[in-house]
Amino acid sequence: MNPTAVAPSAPVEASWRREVRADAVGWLADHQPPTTREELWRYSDVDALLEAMAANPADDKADVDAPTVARLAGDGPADRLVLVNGRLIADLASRAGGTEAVGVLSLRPSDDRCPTDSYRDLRHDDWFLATNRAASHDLAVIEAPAGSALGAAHVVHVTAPSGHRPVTHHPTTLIRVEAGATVTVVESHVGLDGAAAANASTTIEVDAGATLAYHRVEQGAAGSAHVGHVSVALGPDACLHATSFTLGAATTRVTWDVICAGDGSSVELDGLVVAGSDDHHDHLVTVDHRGSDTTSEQRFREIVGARARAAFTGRVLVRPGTTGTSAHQRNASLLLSPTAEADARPWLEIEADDVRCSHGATVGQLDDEAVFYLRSRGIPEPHARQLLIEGFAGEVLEAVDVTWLRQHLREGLEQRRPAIEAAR
Amino acid sequence: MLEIRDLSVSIDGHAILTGLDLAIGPGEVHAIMGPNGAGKSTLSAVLAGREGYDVEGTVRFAGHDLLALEPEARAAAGVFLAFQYPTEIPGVGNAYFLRTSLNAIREANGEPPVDARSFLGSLRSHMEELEMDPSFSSRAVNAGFSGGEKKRNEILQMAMLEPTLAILDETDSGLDIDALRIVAAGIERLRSPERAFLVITHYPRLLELVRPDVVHVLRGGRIERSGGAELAQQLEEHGYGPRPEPEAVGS
Repeated sequence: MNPTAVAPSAPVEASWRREVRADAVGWLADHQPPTTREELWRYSDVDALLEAMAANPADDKADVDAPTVARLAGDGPADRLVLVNGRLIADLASRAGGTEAVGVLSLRPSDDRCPTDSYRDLRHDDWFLATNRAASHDLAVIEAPAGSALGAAHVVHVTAPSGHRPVTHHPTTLIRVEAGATVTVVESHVGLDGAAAANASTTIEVDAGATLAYHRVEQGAAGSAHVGHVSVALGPDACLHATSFTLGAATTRVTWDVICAGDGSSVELDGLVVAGSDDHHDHLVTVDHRGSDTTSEQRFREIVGARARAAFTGRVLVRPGTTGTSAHQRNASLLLSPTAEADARPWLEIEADDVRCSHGATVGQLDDEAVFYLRSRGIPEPHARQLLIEGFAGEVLEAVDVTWLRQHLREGLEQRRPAIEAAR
Repeated sequence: MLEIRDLSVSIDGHAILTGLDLAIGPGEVHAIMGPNGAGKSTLSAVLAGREGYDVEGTVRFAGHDLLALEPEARAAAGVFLAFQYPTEIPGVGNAYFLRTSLNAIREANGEPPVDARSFLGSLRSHMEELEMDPSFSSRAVNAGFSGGEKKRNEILQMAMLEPTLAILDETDSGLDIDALRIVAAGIERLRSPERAFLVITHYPRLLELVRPDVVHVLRGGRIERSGGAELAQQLEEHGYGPRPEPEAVGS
């Protein structure tokens, strides 16, 4: 696509957004999209992503109602914000979370304040992220004021193709948790049926002593493409409990970029990737330990069936001069067919001495012994396999403390079963 | 109830059972003892339907040609195997698994699903009898259980599923004295005129707590001899004795 062709969404934009756009457009003029010759893109289906993103920009004529949003993204007590093709749909917002204090808002382009400085201070090194910056419309914003202890906020980004026309758009979320605050944020990326690409970006800042539970769910329509980029900056003693679910779309690339900037900050990231049919999913997680006494846990699982591919790269960077870093990473892939493929790549760059670090990756099939055990208890084979797949996923689902979301994810997994169990 | 005739089992061309005959009637408790490698566990695995064996002969069970049935159909027909090494099922809760299992068996037999209240009530009372902590109902099946806890969990499943033929494969191995007493009491509670047991064990200790009607010695791929409960004690005192040389007979 030609990002310079993307018009701003409103006549008057905040000056900082104009700067961000201009900056991104300038960078894109000098840079080419990535190729699989680059190490960080080696396992991505970049061509398919670019092909999907070459579609027309999505328009704002989409017709999406509340029951559809609930069906696609789950429904439960939360302050909900719904954006369709990057535009806030005010009628679909709800405040069922009952937490008036949650600063859920959508900055129209004319708003004049950037809640997360790191959105502005982009180090341009990612073509998709720069494209998002250049072309995004409304920004979904969650702000938890200092010291607040709030309920759950739910941001739903809906991709809505119009008719049979493929579309592309750039959903964007900014989350700011001020010092000492506690909040839960669910971010859903869903889509109506049809060819489409979403190129998403989420910018998160968790200030000193604050805690964020953040659940990111990708459940795009079959055949769609999804690029997601989550950038997190953690302040001193800040805490992030995050989950990453990739349950839909045919081609994805999801990047987590977590910076433990403040001393004593910590991150736990649990991920589940479900790949069936001819899906190709690639996940890159980077935890950058810049502060001392920082801890990170990455636990990712992939369920890969049919002719699908799933790749996971877990990077851990420990900067010189830091002490007391603890960084652990585990990846487990479950292959359900002989034509499925999983790639796991730990990537450690340790430049300090006082470090406790571990990583491990396993790739396996369903345990025949376990299948037999369940069958010997009267459970027919397909059901036994289903239970074991659920069990494998269940260990990630347990990290979700939002009941309605966990139930929604279970149902989403169940819906994917025909695709992952096909042609085994 | 169970009639095994001329059962021969081999794995990768290696013969393990060679023409085994065994008949068990309703309400009977049969014990099978025998030296290591005699094929005791193979017999239990073949009866439960484990794959990977070459099997010849016939096994009739409650009107079924047992060897023709899938493992789940054998369970639905009333066969239960308490595993020597119960498998860990990460991520699947024990109670959820048991209810799924019970309902699968009920569905196969044309019965409606068990209602949650009576299931949970029954589960709790069986767990109390087996002195299992209530937390075991929500923990993943056998995951992180000690050896003794796994064996108790097998007996719990047996109690909940109420099979007509229970095969216990070295359920007493690895149990301390207290756990053995609890497990044996669990088995004794389930004894009934309709239910048969096949108890595979190395030790007469279990058979003092669960008195068998018949004790068999499995050796050389078949039942070498059979006797009453007293045979177990004789074996404990005198061992299995020298192995007879079939080739030498009649020469």
